[in-house]
Amino acid sequence: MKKQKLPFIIFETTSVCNLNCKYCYNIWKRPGEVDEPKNSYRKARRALKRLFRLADVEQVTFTGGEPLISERFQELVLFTRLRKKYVSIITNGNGGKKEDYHMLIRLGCELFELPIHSNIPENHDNLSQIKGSWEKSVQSVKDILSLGGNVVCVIVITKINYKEIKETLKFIRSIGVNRVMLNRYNIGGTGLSYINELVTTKEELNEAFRLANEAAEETGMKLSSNVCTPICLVDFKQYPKIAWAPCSSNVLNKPITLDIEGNIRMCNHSPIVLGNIFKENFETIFKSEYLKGWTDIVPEFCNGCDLFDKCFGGCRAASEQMGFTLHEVDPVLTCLKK
Amino acid sequence: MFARFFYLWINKNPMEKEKVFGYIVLPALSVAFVVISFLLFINPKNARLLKRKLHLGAAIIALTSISLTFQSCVTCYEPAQELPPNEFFLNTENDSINILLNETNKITGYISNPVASGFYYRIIRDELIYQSGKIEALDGAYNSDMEDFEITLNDSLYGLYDLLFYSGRPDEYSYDAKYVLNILEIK
Repeated sequence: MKKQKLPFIIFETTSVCNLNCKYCYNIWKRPGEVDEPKNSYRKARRALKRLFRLADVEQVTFTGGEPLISERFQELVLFTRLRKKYVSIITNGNGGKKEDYHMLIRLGCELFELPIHSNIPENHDNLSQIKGSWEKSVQSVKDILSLGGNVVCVIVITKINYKEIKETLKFIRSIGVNRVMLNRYNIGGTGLSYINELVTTKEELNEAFRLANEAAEETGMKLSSNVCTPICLVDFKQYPKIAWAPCSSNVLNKPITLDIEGNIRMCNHSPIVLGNIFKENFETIFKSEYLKGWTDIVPEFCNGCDLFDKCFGGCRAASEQMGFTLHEVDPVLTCLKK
Repeated sequence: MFARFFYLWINKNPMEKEKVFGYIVLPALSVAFVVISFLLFINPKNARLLKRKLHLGAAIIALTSISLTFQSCVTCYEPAQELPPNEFFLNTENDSINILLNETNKITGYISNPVASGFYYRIIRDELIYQSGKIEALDGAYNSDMEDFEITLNDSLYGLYDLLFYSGRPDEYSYDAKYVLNILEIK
């Protein structure tokens, strides 16, 4: 059987998390969703084994929930590394201790992604809804760096923290991190309950990127905006120091997501299950009509817009999280505070 | 004492390193790893076994990458590479390439002395990425001094872009080669 080539896959090792972030986009945290905790080493290993049988994967990004509190997490990383895959970990910085990071680095984890949303601890803790989470996250960053690991920090831009973006970036630089992902708040999951508290105005969001651009000029930091953002909301030409990563039209370049039950989704923000690797192979899964819709369907809002080929209407997985279809544009455009 | 003697001997005999790791250490570690994994399968709550499994796994991963490095080691019978590593060349005489869509939507070229873990490209304009991807060797493997490759352009591309090439992952914004790409169509 010919294996499907997959540059990378996002693997949700568990749905359990020790924080309760207001902006969390996890699909099982949508209001009204029945959140049955998924946390099984055997299931996770079985899913990875099946994945590697069906696909030639280059990189596995472990996420959750919080991956570091998933059952026998380090063994899952070992299992993946012994199959010569690159491994990166998206963690909230509150799930591991220094010895855990040490072992993960010894196992060859290439990159750790951790949040530092503000230089003001209270603002970070307000977003995570757990007091002391800022301190733990900062300590984790320092621990990983001291052990020789690579760290990229994440800032989720919200109404709560957009004003201090510049100071936050300088703080992150001061503890030794040079790469930051500036992700605007993307509506979904728990975040659906906090739209009014978190969503910025268009001007505020642009102000955040302007400040970040200035900080990048002053410090030489490498910034990227990874959550696809409609160009009519933020014109990234205005912020040349920030690399922009739009949603790709090629399915293989999308963050295809696998959970421990074997369900495949197009990205970790989308609630729609494309198929299951225990029932179908990737060839069948990638032939779905739904998948074609991502490039073929133009939301009414974007009709006639020359820029659609570049931004695809922002994150339409966010509209799916709100119960809409691909015919709807990114809800950030409709929820935006005037 | 024995470990020190072994350490000195191995460092005085670099050509034996590969053999020692390849034929003795790695198989021994692998056997131990399998045994520990089996014991852990029977007794999954045993923290000591788990710790040993992880340490053995880490050692195997570290040694595997050591033995991979040895393959490109210069010895008496293996000359040093004379070509500079990872050089990208397109089928053009200067730093720009014109693609006439009436004729083709493919960019062709080759990589000289490809020794990186992977090769990537990005097509950008005004800091925006319009197309990106991994470059695969046309014959399926990077196993010779010159490897041909081919990039198929997306239908939506038209006009002037920068074409950037990377040896290794392109997240550091430092490219190995840059071409001006002009995509045209004669109507």
